[in-house]
Amino acid sequence: MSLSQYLGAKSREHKHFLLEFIYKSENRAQQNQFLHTLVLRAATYVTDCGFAGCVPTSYRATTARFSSTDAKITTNNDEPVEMDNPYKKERRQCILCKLNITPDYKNYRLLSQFQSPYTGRIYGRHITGLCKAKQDLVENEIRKAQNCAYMPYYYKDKVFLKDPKLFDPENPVRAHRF
Amino acid sequence: MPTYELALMLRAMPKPELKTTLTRISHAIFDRGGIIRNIENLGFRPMPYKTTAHGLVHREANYFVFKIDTPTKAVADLKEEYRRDVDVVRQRVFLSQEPSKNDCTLEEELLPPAYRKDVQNMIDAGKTQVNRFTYKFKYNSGLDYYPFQK
Ligand SMILES: [Zn+2]
Repeated sequence: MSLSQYLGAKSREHKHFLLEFIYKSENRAQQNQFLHTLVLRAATYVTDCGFAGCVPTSYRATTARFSSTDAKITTNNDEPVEMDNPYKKERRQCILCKLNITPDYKNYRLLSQFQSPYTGRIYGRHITGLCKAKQDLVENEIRKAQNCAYMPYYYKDKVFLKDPKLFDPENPVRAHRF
Repeated sequence: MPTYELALMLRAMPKPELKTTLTRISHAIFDRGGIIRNIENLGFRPMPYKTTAHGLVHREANYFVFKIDTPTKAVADLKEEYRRDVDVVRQRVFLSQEPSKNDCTLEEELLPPAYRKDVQNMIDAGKTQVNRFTYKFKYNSGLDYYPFQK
């Protein structure tokens, strides 16, 4: 589309007249009124030709509207980028799954960490913070170890009393039922 | 032949005697067509609770774990043989298990109850049940009036 078509000029002289009118007009009100009829069609062209300086501020904002035929759209590197949600939280894992440990009845030192030092009872899932599968496995292996006389039933082996704590029984994940 | 783990507690005894006992135990497996994959010695240590076996109280024991492949039918036979062995204080047989490769489901378990799959299933099951605790009067009882206060 040529500039003449943008401006709606009938001849070459008419085009020059119109451009001069836009560029040189002293009368701001007259200029605004004229531009008002033209700017939506001619905005892109006027900006490209370096006429932006003469366009009033209220119209300059509208000059950001590119037409669909404009090649600038494809080369615009300021457009939104496809990416994953940066605020997505990391998937939580229980300590045994995170470290890829399978509880075994022979490893009674690990199992004794899931046992109360006062009563020898196995702590529940709301305290240990394990997933269902691992908690079941831990409970089964503790029962096997106790049955094999590797681990005591009613207390925790005093050698293991100072082992690091994997969880705090006073602050369970879910409330105690008592 | 499945793989079993044979956890044995042997009584406190000097080393040569222990050696002959272990040989005896192994030969019992071989005689029944089994093989031994591995023998683990977990050491001589005090038991967490005292155990009575063959009229003696044991407070310490030699801990051994045999990893064996044996026919399933031979297991009961082996256990019966070791029960008669005076050197064996306690014996347990477990099926050897492979480490599971399940993904951790902790994230789903920590969701609020309404979003948990098992809770949703429970609610769905509850909707199909008839409420047995609210009595509903049946009008075809033969009475021509409603017997209760409305
Ligand atoms: Zn887990």
